Amino acid sequence: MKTSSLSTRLGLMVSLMGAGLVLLLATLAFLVLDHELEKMARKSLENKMELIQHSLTMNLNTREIATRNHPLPDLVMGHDNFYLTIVGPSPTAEVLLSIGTKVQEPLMTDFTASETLAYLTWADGRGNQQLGASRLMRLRSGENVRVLLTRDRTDDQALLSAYLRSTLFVLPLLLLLIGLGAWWLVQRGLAPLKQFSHVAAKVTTQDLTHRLAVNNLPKELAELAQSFNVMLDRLDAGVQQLSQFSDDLAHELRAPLTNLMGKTQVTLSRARPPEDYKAVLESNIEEFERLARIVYDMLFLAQVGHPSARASFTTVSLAQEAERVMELFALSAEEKHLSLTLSGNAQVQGDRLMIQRALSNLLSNAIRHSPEGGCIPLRVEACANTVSLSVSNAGPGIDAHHLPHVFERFYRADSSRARTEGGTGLGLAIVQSIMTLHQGLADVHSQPGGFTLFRLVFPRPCGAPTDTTPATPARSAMSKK
Amino acid sequence: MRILVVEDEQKTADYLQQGLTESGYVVDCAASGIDGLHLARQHSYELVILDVNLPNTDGWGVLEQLRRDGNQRVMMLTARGRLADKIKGLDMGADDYLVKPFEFPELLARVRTLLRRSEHIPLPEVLRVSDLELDPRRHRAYRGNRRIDLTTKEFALLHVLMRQSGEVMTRTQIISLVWDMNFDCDTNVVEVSISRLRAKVDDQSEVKLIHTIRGVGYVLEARQ
Repeated sequence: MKTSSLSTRLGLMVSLMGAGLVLLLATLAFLVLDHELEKMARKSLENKMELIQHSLTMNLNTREIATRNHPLPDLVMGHDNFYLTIVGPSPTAEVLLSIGTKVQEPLMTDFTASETLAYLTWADGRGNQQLGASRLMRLRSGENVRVLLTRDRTDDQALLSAYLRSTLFVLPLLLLLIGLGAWWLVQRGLAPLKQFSHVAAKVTTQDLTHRLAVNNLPKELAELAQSFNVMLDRLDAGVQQLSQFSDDLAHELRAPLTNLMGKTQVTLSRARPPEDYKAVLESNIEEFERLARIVYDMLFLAQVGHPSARASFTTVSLAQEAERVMELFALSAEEKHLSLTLSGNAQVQGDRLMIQRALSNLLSNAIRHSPEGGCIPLRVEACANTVSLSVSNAGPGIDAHHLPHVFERFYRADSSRARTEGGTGLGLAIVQSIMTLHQGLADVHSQPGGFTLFRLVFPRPCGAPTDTTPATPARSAMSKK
Repeated sequence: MRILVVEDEQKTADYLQQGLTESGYVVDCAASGIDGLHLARQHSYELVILDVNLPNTDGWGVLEQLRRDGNQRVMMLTARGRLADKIKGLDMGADDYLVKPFEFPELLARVRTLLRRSEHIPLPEVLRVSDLELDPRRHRAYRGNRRIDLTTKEFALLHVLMRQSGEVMTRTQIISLVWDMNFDCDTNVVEVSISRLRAKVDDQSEVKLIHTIRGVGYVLEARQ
């Protein structure tokens, strides 16, 4: 029952609810009908009794009653379901008048009566319901008589039972109809969901192009379909990126592997002096290092992508970390007669090692691309909601059509260059992953032939004091020599 | 000193055995966790180098058994570099944890450090190699009678090389020890620093002390 279909369940529930309601209504109608019929019966009895009283008090004495020469029979005779009995006051008194009664019921003579109108009900020998009204009435002659006017309620009973019968007969049909109707309505209402399962069944990692048609859907489902489509879009992009990535990775690994295999095979093809073998091994180790670096970077990217990497976050002073990284690059900069400067400071929440790493990747790029004798300023700036650290350098710049792709894995604007200089093509991808982990972003601005500026934007740590201290005078790494 | 290498990949076991033997250790190899445990119970090894990915009983199981048996030092080798794995290894009582691919000199350095932990040889106050002298406390260095003028980083670099005299230091190790950067950075700082240090230390002397081992790293020693 737990797993039965939604439409069956809804159909069942609606018919149960309908059954309850219809039963309630039918019962209510029965009770009201019963009550109203009884009220009408009593009312008519009361009216008749008044007329009888009137006739009795106006004209008659005990003897005259029996003669039937009076209007009483007319009062009763016209209606075949009335019975009138008039009896003397004492319990054993004889019956003075009995109209309409075919069978004398004992109760019809043996009844008590008082000055006020009293009603009594009983069933006669054949089980028919009777309603009687009794009263003690005074004749003109001053004698008292007991009067009982009875109404046979067989007709009312018949009406009620006919009602009951028809209701009980129709009710199951009605309920069936309600249930089927509900089931059909729910089926119809849920029909668009079929589209969902239809599309979901077709989606695989090879084919993520299927989308739900949103136009014909009801509003509630349209939203769901919309998010479903957006999810598919994201999955599609992710899967494509992933397959592109493994393509690129295989390609990147192929180059060093080809070198290694080729060189080793050539070397082994004939006997050589030991120095030659040594030279080959030494050259091999450089290729191995390249392979190892790619593997390390890949591992790092996989780790950074995992949210648990956020566990080691502490408060990090950007200027302090920048200074340490600048120290590391001071000599490389000096070789190219570059000056590294640092200004500003701010604190962020982050992983020290990762921030160092991101910065080191940016700085090594800047040094690589800067012309001799230039200047590479590092700036830490605190804005309203963000803290940014920028590294800029003069140089050839990056073409506008490369800019959107520079953070992609293995993307190289200049494919021949970086590889010979030892890069893995993952440096900026690592920068971006690190910034994503820090819930910030990395961006780049570049003018060909002008300045290239890379920026790490961190969210401002909540509760941090607004750092309005004017930029500290530019510190130079070279002056620390 | 006796070392047990538990590693199922034959090539890895071979070069570990060769490298460690050439560095003066006695090395036994086991190709499975069960063999490893058996050997570890028969001999007393100063150090067990244990691969995580082993047939039958894996490295974790062997580590657990070793810890139950005694207090042998254990270095775990693994291809899994996740933080959770490292923590698991250290929590289970491993003394060190090295992720593949690793550089052999780093493994050697760590082995030395682990084995030195118990001996605790105090470093001499003044380091001496041939006629090169370094006094860390007074921050001075001499080659023979000539005083060498060094920057802070050059001094730190020379200190690292002299302290581990005779051992090859890789670029990564040097960056970690001198610049305190514990990741692979794309910089030629070590090459530049070494060439400057060499100019100050070796250029004016007959005997060269700083040697480049191409593809591996740098070593400071007096060679005949």
